[in-house]
Amino acid sequence: MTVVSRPGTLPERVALFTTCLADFAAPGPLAATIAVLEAIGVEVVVPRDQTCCGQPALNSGFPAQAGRVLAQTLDSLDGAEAVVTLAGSCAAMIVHHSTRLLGAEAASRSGVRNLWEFTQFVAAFGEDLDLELDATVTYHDGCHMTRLLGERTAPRTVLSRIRGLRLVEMPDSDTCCGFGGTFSAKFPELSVAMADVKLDNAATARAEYVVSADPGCLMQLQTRADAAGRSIRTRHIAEIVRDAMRTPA
Amino acid sequence: MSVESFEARLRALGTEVERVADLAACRAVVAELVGTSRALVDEIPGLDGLDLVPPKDPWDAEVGISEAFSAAADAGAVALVQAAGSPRRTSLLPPHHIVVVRAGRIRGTYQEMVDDVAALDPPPTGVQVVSGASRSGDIESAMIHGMHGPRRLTVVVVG
Amino acid sequence: MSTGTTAKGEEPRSTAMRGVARVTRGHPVWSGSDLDPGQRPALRPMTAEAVAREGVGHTRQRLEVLGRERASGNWLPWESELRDRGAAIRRETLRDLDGYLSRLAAQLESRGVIVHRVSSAAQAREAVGRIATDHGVTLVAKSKSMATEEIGLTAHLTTLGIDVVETDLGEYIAQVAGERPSHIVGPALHMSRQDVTDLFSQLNGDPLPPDPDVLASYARERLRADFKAAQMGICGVNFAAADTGTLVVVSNEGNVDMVASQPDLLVAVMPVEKVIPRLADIGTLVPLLCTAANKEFTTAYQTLLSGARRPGEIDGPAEFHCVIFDNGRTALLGTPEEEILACIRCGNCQFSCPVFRTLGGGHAYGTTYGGPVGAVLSPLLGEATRDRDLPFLCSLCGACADACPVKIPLDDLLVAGRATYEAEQPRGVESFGWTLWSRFWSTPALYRATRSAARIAGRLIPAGVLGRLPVVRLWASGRTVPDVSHAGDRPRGRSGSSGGSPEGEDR
Repeated sequence: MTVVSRPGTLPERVALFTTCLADFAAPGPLAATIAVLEAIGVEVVVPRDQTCCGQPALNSGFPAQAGRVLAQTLDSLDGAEAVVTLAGSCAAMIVHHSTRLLGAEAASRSGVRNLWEFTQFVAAFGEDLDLELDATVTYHDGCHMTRLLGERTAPRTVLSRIRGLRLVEMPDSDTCCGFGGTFSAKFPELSVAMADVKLDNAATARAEYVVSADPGCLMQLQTRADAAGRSIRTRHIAEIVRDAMRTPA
Repeated sequence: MSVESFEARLRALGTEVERVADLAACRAVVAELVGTSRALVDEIPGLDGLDLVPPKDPWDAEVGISEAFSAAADAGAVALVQAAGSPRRTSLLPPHHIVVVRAGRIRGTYQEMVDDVAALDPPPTGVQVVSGASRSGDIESAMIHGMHGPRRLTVVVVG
Repeated sequence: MSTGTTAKGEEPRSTAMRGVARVTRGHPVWSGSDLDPGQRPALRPMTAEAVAREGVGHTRQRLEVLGRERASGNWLPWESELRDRGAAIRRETLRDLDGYLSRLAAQLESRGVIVHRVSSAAQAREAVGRIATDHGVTLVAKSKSMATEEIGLTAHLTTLGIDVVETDLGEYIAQVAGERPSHIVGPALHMSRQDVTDLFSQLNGDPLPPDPDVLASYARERLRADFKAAQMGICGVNFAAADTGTLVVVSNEGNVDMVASQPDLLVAVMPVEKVIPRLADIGTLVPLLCTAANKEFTTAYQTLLSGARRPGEIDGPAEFHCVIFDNGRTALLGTPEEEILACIRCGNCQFSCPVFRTLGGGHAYGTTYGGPVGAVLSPLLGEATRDRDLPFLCSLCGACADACPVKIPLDDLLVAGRATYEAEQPRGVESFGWTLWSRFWSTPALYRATRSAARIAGRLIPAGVLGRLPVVRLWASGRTVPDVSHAGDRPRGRSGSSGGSPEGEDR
């Protein structure tokens, strides 16, 4: 695992790594991410030439193709003092697999050593945000962020700063939702069965929102809930934080 | 290592424990535990002369009596050497197994007991390390006590 | 179909298997002990069937409880220390596996053990078969061994006219049911107590109560007769110490001691990676194994076997054979895949795996070893041609790597296994597709073009039609189609900056 640098002071500007999934299907969380980062006081740039971290190809057994795409994204992020992404699994992919795909030098690229997953950044620098939201939420720990990044504290730290927000933990919050990227299309019945287990667990928390830091997990759970006629609503943690901001962005 | 910690661990595993001061007391306790049951007895120095009834068929024995070569307090385990005077059947076939353990042979840790066993040169034909009576959790994880080995284990600590 | 009947279909010689012809309890073809390794169904239909089976939810919940108990990844300080030491010990032998095996064999032979070192699974089962037929064996009592499952030993002995009875309670249940073990440590975890009750009641010809104690007693009595009558015992090996030449086998039931000491003939079967440097190492490895497998410090019994019966001894095997087989393992040495040889077969990865649990156990992997260890190991073993795609049966959640007591990077090995599989395929649609994808997505203008295409498709094509397109329809069976009509709507920061790029609209 690559060690990510952790500067102590707030950077002036951050580059947003949007991720392909958010580019295609999650514009809401992207806008919320920017709003929160700006409220913290950083300038947000969105490098135009970024594409994808390469994870879909790596997980499908095509590492060379994955490396090619990852290289492009790292090129687009070069020079950034800090890079923030709203997908825990893409952050984990970059931190855990970059050197394996692109060699040891990859560890010193801006997109790797200066990379922050969204909640990590907000936990470190967002203490002064004025946050209030009267809602009950439950939290799903996405696998890659939890296990490859080793991060399960930052999201809860962020949620705990929201006055009036009640966090009810669900059983087995860190059990996989069944997305697994291409796994969800290779084994749809199994993937859906795993989503159902997660939705059943989430439902026991009786929360208004199921929150996560991974658009992939959220897409898996929401589309399954909708198809199954379940009234569960999912929301990216960036949107919860943006909703809670007292001072409009 | 304390004998008390060994005894506590044995009890936690469902093993019965008797503490006696010397071999004479040990003989008495064993005789009482065995009564008139048909018994398999290993050759245990100092414990000969027990007036016990052997079974016609070892498979019909009701109690077996062995002596431990070494023991481990943290695991509540005893190590039994299989040799000419101590066949495996004694600790295996009867439903009740009694093990005599000299207090001086009790080690603090499983590792130390294993080291004792590993130092035997040449290695014996077999060694059986026992922690508790036989059991199984194979039916829906429900713990059953007493499977193919003994269902009752008594340790008599001497000294 | 159970393999407990004799080749001639007569009443079994095994007391425990009497009445097995009465068992009518059905099971899917892919969970059968008679599943030909080359003939298993494709993974997707097999897994689709598995998640829909009656009772799978209860099995999943049982496995979840066991997984939670073990709290994967949360090793207590003393467990963590054991894990560090155990991981190191398991890598030592990989430096010189052949050297350690030679020392092991020499030590065993010096005490009258006949050692057979063979290469393939076929050679291994044939060696055991010859020992049995040479001695006119008609009944074998066997303790639990995944290695014997791997080499198809029971089926082979049955074709030779030899009856084999499994004596571990879970394996016995699976044998009566005609199924393979569904978990490395708990072979019958996929069955509820009612399932076992129904099964034993059929076997018995009369109903038995749904009481585990009664059911276990029933099995115990019948199996005891077999321990007494069997001419040959077969056991597996958990660890084989090279320095003293000692085979170490753990059990809770005492059946290992039975099969290893009461019949006059014993055959121990082990794959090459079971060898450990020193007998003293079990001071670390036994507690590590038992903690990971069963949340207990040690099992009730650890059986240490170092030689054949000596003069003056009245039990223990008069003749003692040890079959050591390879089946593709030594070919892994010196490659990243050698890591899987560190496995101590605790089954903790299986308990921690959400795929394994949701499938109701290991049967739907269609091979001897299921779960994460199986998805890595099975494709690498000698005779597996159908199992090369197993690494895909995994959502890459990483729980297995956290759960592994000897720190095998299972998730990384699964990713690597997928690359190995694809590299072996002839260049086809999938390879072409990903190469094209990588060209497009490493060229910003082309990436933006695919985004625009998705945006247009999302706006113009009704969701119902989108959901029937290839690939999309795999998602859409059970889930709604995600809305891509806003693809490319990358919001900007207040500054509107894209980091120095002077172009206009980001579409």
